[in-house]
Amino acid sequence: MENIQELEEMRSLLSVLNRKIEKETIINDRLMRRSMRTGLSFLRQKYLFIVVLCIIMIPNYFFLCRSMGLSMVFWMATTGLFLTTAAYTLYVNSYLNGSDIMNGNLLDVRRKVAKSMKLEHDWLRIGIPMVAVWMVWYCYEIFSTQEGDRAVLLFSISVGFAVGLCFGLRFRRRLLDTYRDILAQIDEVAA
Amino acid sequence: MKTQETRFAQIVKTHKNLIYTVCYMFSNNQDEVGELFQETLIHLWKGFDSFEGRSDLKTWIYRVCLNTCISADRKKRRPRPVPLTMDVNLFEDTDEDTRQISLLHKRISLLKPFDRAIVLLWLENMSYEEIGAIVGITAKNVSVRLFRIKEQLKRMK
Repeated sequence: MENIQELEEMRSLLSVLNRKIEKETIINDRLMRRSMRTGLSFLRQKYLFIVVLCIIMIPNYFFLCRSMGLSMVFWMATTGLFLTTAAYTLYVNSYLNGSDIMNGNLLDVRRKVAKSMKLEHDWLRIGIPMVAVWMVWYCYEIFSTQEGDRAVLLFSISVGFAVGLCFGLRFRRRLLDTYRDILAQIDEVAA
Repeated sequence: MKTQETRFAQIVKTHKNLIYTVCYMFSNNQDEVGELFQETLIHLWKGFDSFEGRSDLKTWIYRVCLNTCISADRKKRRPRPVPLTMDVNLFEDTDEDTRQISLLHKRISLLKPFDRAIVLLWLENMSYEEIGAIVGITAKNVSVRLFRIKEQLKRMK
């Protein structure tokens, strides 16, 4: 770099680069076809997974509630929880719409990603109280309808909750890691 | 649909140098260039329908390309990209041109991503207005940023 002192000199080097790659084919048919077929981004796939899971869980929970004798009010509340989660997920996802997000200028894109990250954070404020209430209600329903040793029931619920929590936290950590990587770039841009 | 695909392929082939240059300046090795190149093509294809000539074609390609390179999640596990069809490797070849180009790459890499984008556009002879339209700041801001970048580059010597 010792011989290059000004941007004008860099411009001439860029011309050298352009001349060099001008001779190259670079793009092949396979690359083009693959690019046209590729689907959703990592974040969007995750969100789609959550929405599909929520929708699948609604009828499953209906049969579970009936087989275990849990109340229909509880099933409706659980359905409400799933639907709220799915709707919120779709809302967050709307800021990551693949066909639009990259068309705007750099700062617009960053604003959209940052907004999506904020919504993701905000979800905990709504989600944790909702799940806490749901858990207490679930325990109440189980204890009032199921016979047997309460300690065993409590243990089963706790194990189920712990496993679900582990999966959920792992899933969320990966999601937030992805956001953090993108936001690290955003911070640099905003600096 | 076939016509649209053909038109897209033609546009990409016409602007391959532009896309490659931006991807190269935001990469640390040949594999990364390939990954960013492919991701840029995916985003271009996704936005091709909604583009509809609302802005200049070159401006749109720059936007998508820079957005992709700056926002790329480099830790993401991607499917193995299709290798680019190239006989040269700008990261490993040792001829004089490549050596000079790698010095340019090294210098630009030291800038923050946003400044890297601005300087790349300026090196492509774009006006402050055009640069501003791509990155989303005013022409006045572009001029101020470029002044700072020049100072920064001088200090890097």
